[in-house]
Amino acid sequence: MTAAPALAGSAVRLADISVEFVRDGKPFTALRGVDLDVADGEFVALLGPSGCGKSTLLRVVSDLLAPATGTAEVLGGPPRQARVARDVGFVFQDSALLPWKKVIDNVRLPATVGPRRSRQMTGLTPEEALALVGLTDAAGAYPSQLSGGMRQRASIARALVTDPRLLLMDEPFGALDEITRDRLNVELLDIWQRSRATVLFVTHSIPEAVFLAQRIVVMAANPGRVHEIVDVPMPYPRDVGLRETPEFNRIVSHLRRALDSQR
Amino acid sequence: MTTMSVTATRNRARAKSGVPFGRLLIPFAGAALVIALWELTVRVFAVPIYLVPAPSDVWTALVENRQILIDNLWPTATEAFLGFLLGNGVAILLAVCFVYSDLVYRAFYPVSVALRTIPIIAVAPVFVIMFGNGISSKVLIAALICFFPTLVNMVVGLKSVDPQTIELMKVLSARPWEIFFKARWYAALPFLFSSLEIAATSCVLGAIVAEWIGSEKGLGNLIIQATYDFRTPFLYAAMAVSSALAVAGVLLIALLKRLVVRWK
Repeated sequence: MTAAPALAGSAVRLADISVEFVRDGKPFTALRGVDLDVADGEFVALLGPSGCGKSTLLRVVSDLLAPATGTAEVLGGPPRQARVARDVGFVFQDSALLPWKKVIDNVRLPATVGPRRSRQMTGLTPEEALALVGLTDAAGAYPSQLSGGMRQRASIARALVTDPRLLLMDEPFGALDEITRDRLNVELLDIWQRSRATVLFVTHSIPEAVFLAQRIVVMAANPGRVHEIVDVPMPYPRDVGLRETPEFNRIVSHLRRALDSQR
Repeated sequence: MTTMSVTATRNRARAKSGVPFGRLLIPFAGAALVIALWELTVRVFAVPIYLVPAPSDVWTALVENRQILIDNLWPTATEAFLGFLLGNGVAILLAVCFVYSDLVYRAFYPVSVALRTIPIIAVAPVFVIMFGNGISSKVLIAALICFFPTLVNMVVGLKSVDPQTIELMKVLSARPWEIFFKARWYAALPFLFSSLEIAATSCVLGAIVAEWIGSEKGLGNLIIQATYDFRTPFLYAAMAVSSALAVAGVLLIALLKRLVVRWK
């Protein structure tokens, strides 16, 4: 795994990003004038109602979408360069495991697609990645045989084999029950602390954002934009007891008011 | 906890496939009962053999005419098989074009669906006039009848791939052909096999209908001749062989599906 660089630069630098779609034949502004700096190794949550463009923002950073205006810099270069170098890992909401591949082959996928020079794996081996997320015994199963939580663990393992310096997570635990979600939150923080990768984490759960992130970007909809950026000045490692502290609840209430005020 | 839940789901899968031997016999017992009732009815009411032959008469006709039946089975099987390959092959290729080009889809999908409404029995004479009495008109009609279900299913199947899977492939810098062969194609396979199961019977139907219109050999030819000559037991025997051909096709596809689509 990559060690934290001596000089903490910017992992992501977005300036005046706007994204427009055509929806039902009409132009639609998904994002307008978004500025955001994410430091190397930082854990940042993007929080907001649906339609605020938080997932769109991840797609700009991962080079899945080109912004209409503005500039995006990822790991010191254009998003495309970071993508081709496999410096960016993406964890999707519905795990996006290929149903026809066994779990271990899903985790191997990054080594089997893309240009040959991109396939060089520098991170964990697929077996190590599965062990890290506690899925060694499920290696030979098909995704349909796993629970939702296990599927998300597998998709995190798949993202880890490329040793990403930037991990983009699009509501990865949104479809899970609360107990599984809490457990995976703790495991994710553990993985993040060991890898020191930068994490951009999209969620619409306020407690999840506060529990995980160092900074929370509160977004607003119509058009999608940054409403407020909130610091979470609580040390790591964090455990479930954090949720009972007054500090935690103070930030949760503040965020709730910030989201309410948008209506 | 992980180990336990994986084993549990595997056991459940095994329990589903492990049908007790006795239950496998039930459909055979049902078939035997129907045949016995048929035999009994024909005998009790003394139905003339040229109207409805008893199963035993059909069996006799099968055994006596086995050489003729086998000699005529092969042309029909060949036509059906070639038609199956051609019809499904063209349907798959066209479905790929439809999925990758919205223009082609808009231009030709409605035409394809409209063509589908013409009954195969009405198209068959047209093909025989165009391509003559030989094998090509039969293959084409068998192909045509396989074509539409596969075209429709493949368009749906190729589009059924999870959008997040496509995004994942793009994040991994997969090239377009990789997205096709490693994602879309697999997503479409269950849909393809559903239509291949239909095609396995309909290609036999197509070949036989084509042989009715004009042919010198084949099971369809035997059926027509037996009907004109009132050789009813022989007609039933030819029907039974046609049906066995279709069943063999369906079983082959089902076997192939089990080998290929292992993840469901």
